[in-house]
Amino acid sequence: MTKHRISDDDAEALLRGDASGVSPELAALAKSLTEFRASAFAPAAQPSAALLARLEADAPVPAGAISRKRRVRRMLSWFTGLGVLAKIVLGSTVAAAAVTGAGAAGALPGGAQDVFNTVVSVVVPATDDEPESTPTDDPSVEPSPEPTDGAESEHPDNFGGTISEWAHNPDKGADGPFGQDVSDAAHDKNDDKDHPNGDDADDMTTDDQGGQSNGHGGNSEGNQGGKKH
Amino acid sequence: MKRGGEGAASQNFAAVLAAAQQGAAWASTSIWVEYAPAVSAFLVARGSAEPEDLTSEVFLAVFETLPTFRGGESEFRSFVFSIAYRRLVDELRKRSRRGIHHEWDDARDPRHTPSAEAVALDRLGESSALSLLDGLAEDQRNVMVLRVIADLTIEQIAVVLNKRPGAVKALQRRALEALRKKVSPTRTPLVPPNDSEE
Repeated sequence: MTKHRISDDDAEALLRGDASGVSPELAALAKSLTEFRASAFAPAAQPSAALLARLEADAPVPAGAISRKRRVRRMLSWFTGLGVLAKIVLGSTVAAAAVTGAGAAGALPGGAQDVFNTVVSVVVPATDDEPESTPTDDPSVEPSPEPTDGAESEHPDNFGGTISEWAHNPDKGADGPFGQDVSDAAHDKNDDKDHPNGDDADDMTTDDQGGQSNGHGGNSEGNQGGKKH
Repeated sequence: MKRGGEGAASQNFAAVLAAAQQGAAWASTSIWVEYAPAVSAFLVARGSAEPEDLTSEVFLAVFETLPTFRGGESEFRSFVFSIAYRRLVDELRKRSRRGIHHEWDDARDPRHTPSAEAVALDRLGESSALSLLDGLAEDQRNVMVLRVIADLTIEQIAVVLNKRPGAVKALQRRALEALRKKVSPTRTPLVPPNDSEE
């Protein structure tokens, strides 16, 4: 059987997969090429992680960058890998941060906002870092960075009085130990802020004021016990 | 076969290309959806070990160099397959240097007697349509895959392989002649039938 050279038309028809357009002697080849074409095509390829990040981005992504979705996924997988205790601690911290933020913004419900304001005024006393332009009704408060005299300062009186009132107030639902804890923490913070060098004389003054104003022996003892002297 | 088209299709491609060059995710996705199957099939047919990963690498390279691309759809197709071809050559070269490494697989252990299913699958694989081009010269195989799978014209293949169109056409003709001999029903079987003992 003589075989003719494949013409250009036959070649084009073969490569198009057009079996009807080729001479009969090329029918087997046309069929094989059609099968070859069909077998090479697989379901759509899945993009790699790097390409997916590029396709998800709205602008060219620099090498090593990851999408927000991926960051969230990583965060979740990290969180699920934490132990129970770590999750509880983390949850409490996040909740405290959320309440603090909402309270600072004045966004808490009425009663809660009042409690928040009280606690903040006790635990975080006015510091020298505050802007000097902050209006004050008390002319005795000097805007100077030097600590003011205990008799003239409004802060120590407020501190002891508020703690005492809060610790003993049955409406607040706080009993002695609770009030004592708050007082201890407040004093520690107060001391750290006002007397970073650990001046004993000033410490004594503060303790005395706290003990005298609230008249609560436990508080004074607690304060002294809580000191790290 | 004319690629690129005219009118609405061409304008649509131009709009997608321009958006992709500006970094629009939808346009890049559109290009991926349109071209990835052909690129992946080309890599499979040319024997890539990891065609899916390589396809992604090809498109990462395409998107990186896209801002500098100039041309229409026909040129873009050549551009995409030029990158695919270069990546494939790199992979094949690496494999030939390092050899092929397979993870341990009990089924591949030559000390085990293969199951009937494995034997059947192997036979099926050997006789699959993908082995049609086995035995062709390297250049002929490239031309056939780029024509049949990638749907490139002779001129486009000339760009991809960096050859003259006349040379590509000659390679195509010789490849088709070789394939015709291979699939011809009248060809001489490799092993003569063993039915003449009597």
